[in-house]
Amino acid sequence: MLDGINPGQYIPADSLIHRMDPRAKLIVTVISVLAVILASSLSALLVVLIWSVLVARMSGIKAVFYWRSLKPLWVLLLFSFFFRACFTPGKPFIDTGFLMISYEGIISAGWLVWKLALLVLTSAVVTFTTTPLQLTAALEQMLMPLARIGLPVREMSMMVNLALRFIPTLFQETRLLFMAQWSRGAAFTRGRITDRLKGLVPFIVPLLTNVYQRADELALGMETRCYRVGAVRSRMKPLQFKPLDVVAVLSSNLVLVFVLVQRLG
Amino acid sequence: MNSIERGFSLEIKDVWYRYPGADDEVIKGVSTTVGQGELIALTGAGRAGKSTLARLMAGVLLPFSGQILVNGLDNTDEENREKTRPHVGIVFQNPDNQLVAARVEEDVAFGPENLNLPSCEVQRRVDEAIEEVGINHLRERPPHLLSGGERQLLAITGSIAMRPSCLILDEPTAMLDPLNQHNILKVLERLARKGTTIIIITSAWNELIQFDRLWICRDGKLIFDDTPSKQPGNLKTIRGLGTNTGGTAELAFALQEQGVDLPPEAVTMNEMVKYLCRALR
Amino acid sequence: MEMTALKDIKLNIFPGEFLVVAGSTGSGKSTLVQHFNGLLLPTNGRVKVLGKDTTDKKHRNELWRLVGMFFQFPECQFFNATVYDDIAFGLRNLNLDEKTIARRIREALAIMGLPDEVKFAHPGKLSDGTRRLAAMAGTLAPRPKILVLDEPGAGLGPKDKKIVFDRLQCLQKSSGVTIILVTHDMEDAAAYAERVALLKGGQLLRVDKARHILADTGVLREAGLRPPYAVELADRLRQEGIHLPSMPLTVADAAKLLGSLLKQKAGD
Ligand SMILES: Nc1ncnc2c1ncn2[C@@H]1O[C@H](COP(=O)(O)OP(=O)(O)OP(=O)(O)O)[C@@H](O)[C@H]1O
Ligand SMILES: Nc1ncnc2c1ncn2[C@@H]1O[C@H](COP(=O)(O)OP(=O)(O)OP(=O)(O)O)[C@@H](O)[C@H]1O
Ligand SMILES: [Mg+2]
Ligand SMILES: [Mg+2]
Repeated sequence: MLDGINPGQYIPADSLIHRMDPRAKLIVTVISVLAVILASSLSALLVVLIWSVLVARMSGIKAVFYWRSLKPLWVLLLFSFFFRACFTPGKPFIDTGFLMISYEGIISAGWLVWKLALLVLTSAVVTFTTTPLQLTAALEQMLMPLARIGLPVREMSMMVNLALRFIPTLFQETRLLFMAQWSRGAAFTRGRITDRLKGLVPFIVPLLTNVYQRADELALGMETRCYRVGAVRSRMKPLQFKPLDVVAVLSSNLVLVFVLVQRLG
Repeated sequence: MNSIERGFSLEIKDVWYRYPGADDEVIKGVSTTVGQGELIALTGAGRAGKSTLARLMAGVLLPFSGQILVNGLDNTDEENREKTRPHVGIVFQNPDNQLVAARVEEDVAFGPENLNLPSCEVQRRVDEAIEEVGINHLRERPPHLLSGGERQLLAITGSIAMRPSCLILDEPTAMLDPLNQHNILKVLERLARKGTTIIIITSAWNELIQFDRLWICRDGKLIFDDTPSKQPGNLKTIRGLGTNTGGTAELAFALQEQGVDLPPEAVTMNEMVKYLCRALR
Repeated sequence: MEMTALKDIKLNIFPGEFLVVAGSTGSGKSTLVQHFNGLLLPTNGRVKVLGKDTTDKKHRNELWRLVGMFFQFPECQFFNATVYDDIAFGLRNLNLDEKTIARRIREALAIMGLPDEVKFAHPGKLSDGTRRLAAMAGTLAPRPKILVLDEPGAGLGPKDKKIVFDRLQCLQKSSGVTIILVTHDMEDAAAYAERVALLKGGQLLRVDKARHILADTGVLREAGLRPPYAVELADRLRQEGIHLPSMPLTVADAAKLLGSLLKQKAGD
């Protein structure tokens, strides 16, 4: 039951993707996302698919995890499918009079869901193989030029890091509270759906106060470890573009070019 | 590492503390001084104020009267605190509040990185600390999915990697198995010998009376500050204060109650075995 | 991350017994005991509590009434503004009336040796030891048949620890409550356990009567634990050629044995 709560976080493994520079990972992700969105022909989508699957395979993470990251989005995917299918005009496929689903609708809906799934997969590769600290380090360095025009890049990136850092804490807090309440017979963890809904309020309120308290304690904990907002920090592993990163960025660019050529051609 | 050359000092001058909103003082006039490389155990019954005193010494809480001087600098001053913070490290009783990163290794690096040390130095300290505490097998794991004891080990590793001049640990080994407990104690002893001041809060150690300096806290005051085995009477006093004096001392006291005359020097098991061999052969 | 925390464990726990689950750091103790109230379900094999499988949905939903769980980090166990409300949470789920609830809370706090005012306190403002004791009161108050306690003694002074363990033993002896206690301190096991289960690396190393396991320094060391003081002493004496008439488990036992030996010797 608790396994269902998967924060979609970093999964350790020794793979090429894990070893990539986080900046390169961000660039590749942006380009891949563009390619997915812009893909308009069957061959383009196929190429994008092969690319994404290839990257996912190279990440050294079991397919189950990617599958799980998709699972919570089923509702969204189904909803988008029906919405698109029902509201795209065209040649009727099913026509109940009240509701009409067209051939075009089905194809376009399938297209949409396919793209959404690919987007989720692409972003999952990044979050699974990159820790929040690495990610924000990359963001910070890439945005550093903007510091010259007066943007507080360092503070912004630590804020993002804290937000990301807090995701596992939030999940852990939820998990612990769930465990504590389960062990003492909380209504929402069992029984009829109405009971569960009623028990939800006594769950959410303490969750929020606990999380708030945790944030406070964590801030104190970071302070005792000499963290100061806005101060310059060094890095154990300085970011470094390696040949691998160049190859990855170039390959993703190739994919994007192919997609664009297909679209224009 | 300027402070080490000059020698570290922590002075507590008549400190009182009351939590905001509470009626009573928790710390009621504590005064003492701590020098470089001392290894101190702080013990006392529940609610005596041990954790509060630790937080005060580390500058996490500020005394509401009295002074705490770190290397001569008054802790109540915000600017001084920035300067002294890297010198005084603290490990809280609940490790969860101090774990920050998504990987064990990254977490250990967090402190040294905040000190803005060069990358190779950060790497060296992280490797050394992980090696010493013996959590190499956990390096790649996410901290929030470790067992209770493993998280406690990680919190200790993170504080050691910062190499403070003084390290305060609040019940650092409460959830560790005896081997890890022993190992951590040895690591801390080594650090002390190299010049780091170590203050350990603990209520359950059998090794307590083997420390050079023992503080016993009761009702917000330090009522004992001495070497436990220095004077024959000390052990009895310590025991009377509800402190765990370890198996040997317990056995010695129980035998004395039965009217067996024991020499007072038996503190370790070795000494006890030696004595019994002599008496029973 | 996927990993196997427990492997191939076969363990029978008898009604009304005092069982100690021991093992080194990360050996899987917490993971094991969280199977006992259905919080975790085995990926393989089965866990039966009072005869019924924990995967049985109906049984699992009722398990909390039977099994009281005290977590290793009780600070995470609180989710109300006062200790009173927190202990009352479990009691209200039992549909007790407020008067009974108030009485039970008073009793539970008294059992843990806490002053009654603690119930008005905010859990976050208690000292760590007090919070632990208050959390334990919350576990006891619903009067479960089976009590699972994950390192309840950690961070408690000798006095508080003795109170807690004595009261637990009293519950077991007088009301027939089954007690499952997780610890790595063999002194506690020597003083209270009837049986001991040793875990190592997620596997059950051995489970047996306490006096068999505690006297076996080899198997304890293999599990990464330290034998009780008295056993270690007897062992050292045996190496020196002095054999005690029986194996003492606690310091009190040892004092009794050695006391009479020493007096006998002095009398000769
Ligand atoms: N955040 C807080 N707000 C208000 N009162 C507090 C707070 N923290 C602790 N206290 C109170 O201060 C007193 C001393 O607490 P402290 O945590 O220092 O004790 P301790 O000696 O560490 O005890 P233990 O061995 O149980 O950890 C207790 O009575 C406690 O209720
Ligand atoms: N939620 C989790 N997800 C993944 N691994 C976990 C999780 N909880 C624990 N583990 C791992 O499983 C192993 C057993 O953990 P467990 O918490 O049961 O140990 P334990 O015997 O209770 O140790 P301790 O004495 O330190 O509390 C450990 O190696 C731990 O890192
Ligand atoms: Mg404390
Ligand atoms: Mg545990």
